[in-house]
Amino acid sequence: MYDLAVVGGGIHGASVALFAARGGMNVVLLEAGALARQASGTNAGTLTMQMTRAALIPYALKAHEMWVNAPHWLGHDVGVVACDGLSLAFTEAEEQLLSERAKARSAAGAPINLVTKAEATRIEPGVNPSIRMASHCAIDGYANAYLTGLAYRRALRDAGVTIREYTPVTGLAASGKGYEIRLAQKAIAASQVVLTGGVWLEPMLKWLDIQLPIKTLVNQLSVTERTGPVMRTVLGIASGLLSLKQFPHGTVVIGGGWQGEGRRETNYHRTTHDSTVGNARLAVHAIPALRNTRLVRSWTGFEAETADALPIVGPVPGHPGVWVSGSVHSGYTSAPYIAHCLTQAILGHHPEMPLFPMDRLLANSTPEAAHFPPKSQ
Amino acid sequence: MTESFDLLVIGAGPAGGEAALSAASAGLNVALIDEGPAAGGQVWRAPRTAKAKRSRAQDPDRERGDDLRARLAASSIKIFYATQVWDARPGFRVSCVSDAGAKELNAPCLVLATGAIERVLPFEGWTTPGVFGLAAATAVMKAEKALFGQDIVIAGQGPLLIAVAAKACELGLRPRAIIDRASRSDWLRAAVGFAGVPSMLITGARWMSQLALAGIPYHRGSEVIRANGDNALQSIVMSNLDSGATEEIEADTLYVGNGLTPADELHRLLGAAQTADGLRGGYRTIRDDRCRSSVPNLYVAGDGAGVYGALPSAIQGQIAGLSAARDHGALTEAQFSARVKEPRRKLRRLEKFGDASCRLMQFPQDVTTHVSAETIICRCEDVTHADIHAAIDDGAQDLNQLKHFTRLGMGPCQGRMCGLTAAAILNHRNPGPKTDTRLTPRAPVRPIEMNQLIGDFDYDDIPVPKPAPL
Amino acid sequence: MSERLEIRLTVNGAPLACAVGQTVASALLANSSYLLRLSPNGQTPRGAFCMMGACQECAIQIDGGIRRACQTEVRDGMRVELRGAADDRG
Ligand SMILES: Cc1cc2nc3c(=O)[nH]c(=O)nc-3n(C[C@H](O)[C@H](O)[C@H](O)COP(=O)(O)OP(=O)(O)OC[C@H]3O[C@@H](n4cnc5c(N)ncnc54)[C@H](O)[C@@H]3O)c2cc1C
Ligand SMILES: Cc1cc2nc3c(=O)[nH]c(=O)nc-3n(C[C@H](O)[C@H](O)[C@H](O)COP(=O)(O)OP(=O)(O)OC[C@H]3O[C@@H](n4cnc5c(N)ncnc54)[C@H](O)[C@@H]3O)c2cc1C
Ligand code: FES
Repeated sequence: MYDLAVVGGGIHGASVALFAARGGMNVVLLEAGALARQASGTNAGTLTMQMTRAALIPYALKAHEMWVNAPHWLGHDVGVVACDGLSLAFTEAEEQLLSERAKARSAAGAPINLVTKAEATRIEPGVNPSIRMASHCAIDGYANAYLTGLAYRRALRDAGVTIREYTPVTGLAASGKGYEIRLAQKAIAASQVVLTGGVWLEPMLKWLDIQLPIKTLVNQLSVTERTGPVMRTVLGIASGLLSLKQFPHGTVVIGGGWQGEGRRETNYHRTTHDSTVGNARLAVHAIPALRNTRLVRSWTGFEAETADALPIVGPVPGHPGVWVSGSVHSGYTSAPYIAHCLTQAILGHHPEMPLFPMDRLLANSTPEAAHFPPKSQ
Repeated sequence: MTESFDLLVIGAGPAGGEAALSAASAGLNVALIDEGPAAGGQVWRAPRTAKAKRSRAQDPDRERGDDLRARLAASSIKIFYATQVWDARPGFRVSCVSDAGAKELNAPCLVLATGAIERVLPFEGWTTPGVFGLAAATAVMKAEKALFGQDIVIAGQGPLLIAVAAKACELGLRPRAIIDRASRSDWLRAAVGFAGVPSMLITGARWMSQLALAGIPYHRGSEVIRANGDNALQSIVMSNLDSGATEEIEADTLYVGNGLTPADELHRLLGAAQTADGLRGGYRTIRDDRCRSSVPNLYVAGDGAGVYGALPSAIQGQIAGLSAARDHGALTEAQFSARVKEPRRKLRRLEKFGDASCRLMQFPQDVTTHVSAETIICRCEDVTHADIHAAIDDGAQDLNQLKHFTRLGMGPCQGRMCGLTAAAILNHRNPGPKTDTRLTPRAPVRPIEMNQLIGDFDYDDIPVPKPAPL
Repeated sequence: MSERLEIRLTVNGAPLACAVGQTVASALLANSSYLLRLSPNGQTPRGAFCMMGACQECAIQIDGGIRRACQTEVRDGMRVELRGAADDRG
């Protein structure tokens, strides 16, 4: 009998498992495939405030600090680089959008300010001289997402978590003092359960007869081969549909939420011609030197979104001891801190910052549960 | 830019060329795409320099290629040369780039005839400039009637080894040594298979005797274990597979290869079912006797679907083209049956030769035991044999995890050169079923030049989707 | 050499004569220029390897972009730099 079973080994599940084990719990982490091979191992790794939803900025700021200090609490390398971030405006309409968004995000606590073309060009010499202005945030950066699985595996092992990969969970039911977690062959028991299934939270919640639609976005990314230095910042664009940075080893990852095609039900997802070309054009428009590079790979991953595009993090109503965490916009960035808060609740403490209970999204939700986004402290 | 056809054929080698021709002869509107400048593929490769074009040396591959090119030129087929296919989606939508930019070609039926690439068993120093694949030698000899190097060593296994050595002699070169992994008895066993195709047996025997006459040292049951030199190859070290005895041979150029493996990225991207087949280059795409894959209206032919050799590939191509024409409604079942009868008969006879030569090219199972810890396995990312073992120690259980842990397969070749070797190492360390025995294929199937991909554009024309919620 | 060398490239600024129909890789090899670039991670010397467009070892700077030398036909006035995509990193 485990104290806690975590179902889903992405960044959210792995972080909760880690913190709970460090908090003294006997934890098992159950993952259908390999650790962090879905969204959490294939995302762009941008740790930015400029694409984060305003309501999540306080969490993202805390999490950014955690990422930068990863060697201390995680103990292993995920290739985090902290650097300046710029969001660009090339048209008048984009200037307008940029100003509004920068204002909302700085009101939420992100140190974002508008800068002139000259200032932006000083911060990012590689940028297209046709920009009109930019918003600048000194708290930005990126991790190397494909290292997530390796780094967390080491940390989880050190913390004594039982890691069970290639172990899909097929069902969940209350039993005795806790829950029975059904696997293909047999079942295991745990006092408490956390569901961290990314886009698969919808089928997971059905185990408990809870209907909660989770929209599946198919985000696509591309990467160049290792190339000489072409940029030094994290770049975005006013609309939010570009994310661009060059890793220390020289590859440039191009993303920003352009959509591929695919379905969660069949686990089929792939890039499209138009998104690949469109995203690449936007990238080259931002950093013209990219025109002379080669694209070596493009790929897609599933990102989860709730009806109000805000997270579900907290207890599952009607099922004491069952928790959920997911659908966090820019969810890689915020994961360690959100997991920290959730784990505090699981361990019976008061979370440092408010959680995002799912009640608001359920058909029979009570009025007071619908007060979102929560106020930061 | 989008153009539509009845049938798209990717690859203009023997398989793709014949597929396009047979489908067009049945009345389909066909497009044929190849990244090379002319049809012919690997083995019927077109001569490119004046010297090669002038050459009158008797060469059946050249004659077959010239014949294919002439028939294609006289056909109604729309041919896109110097055009690289980088993605294919169900439907079918095929993404291409060329100097003219990116475009999408559409058709309800698709033939994949992408051919094979060479496998080379890693050894210390195999990244030294001056070490080439055997396939490199054939490509240059066919296109330019030339071969590079003064002190040449030819090594590896399979029919290509003898072919390259013999052709090098015809060009007036004298290789310093031929190093063959196969023993005399391996060859004798293979000869029994070649006997089904007398012309092949005769060619092979002629090559062997040419080499013997020229007095070229021929080391059987041996392999290259090291290439020495920094910026250029200086010598190689050869080892006898039985005795372990080594010998160093001075060389500025080494041509080495261990057989062929299907270039099947597009097959896998489209989800065509495959099966492991050591004899056919590692994996073979499953097809029925009409060259239909498991994906509706996707046809596969030639070495890209499993290595059989040039002549079977050409016939598979004919069948695939007819099969597409049948499914598209351009042929009745009776017309189709009448037209595939002869090709099918020939194919049955030829596939025997395929078996025999493939047996000689079979990749050794024990790669791990021969290769030193410092040997680079992933050339693009300089990932060594020791790095792979360290990652497995760290918990990597499948190939895609190994990739995340080490960057193996993340470089521009995308695991084409190292994937099967890494899988063999993983399997050796960690036997038993795995979820990923191969690296996941993704677009672009080969690197694309950004400049070709994006072309010229106006910022305002980029279809930027609607902004994410604030 | 029976071949007429009527195409002129520059390689790292120096002229190189080659024949119509050659690829950049074969033109360089014919001139005993085997070293094309350094690998980006280990900085180890590399030259062309497969000559059939698969291995990417021959990808060097040709007319400003990174192209596979073995798949690129020579053209008069072409500028070739023996430098891979990441060779000029500081
Ligand atoms: C392409 C892409 C780019 C992105 N870029 C960024 C970015 O730059 N910055 C940023 O902050 N965020 C980014 N995101 C978002 C971010 O990646 C996600 O929000 C985050 O990784 C989600 O983590 P997760 O743990 O909730 O989900 P996941 O990582 O999807 O993990 C869920 C896990 O549950 C497992 N699972 C499912 N069903 C079962 C079952 N029945 N039994 C056991 N296990 C199961 C799955 O296998 C999976 O491993 C991006 C997302 C994508 C797809
Ligand atoms: C170097 C070499 C030498 C060989 N010599 C012999 C021999 O002497 N005798 C023999 O029987 N067999 C030989 N073989 C095997 C021989 O290649 C094949 O049996 C035969 O060429 C297979 O024909 P194919 O049409 O399947 O493939 P190929 O002839 O390889 O043709 C495939 C074509 O597809 C094109 N292509 C692939 N991918 C793409 C893409 N993404 N976009 C655009 N175009 C693409 C390639 O440019 C190529 O032209 C040799 C193989 C190699 C590699
Ligand atoms: S030498 Fe392999 S791609 Fe050119």
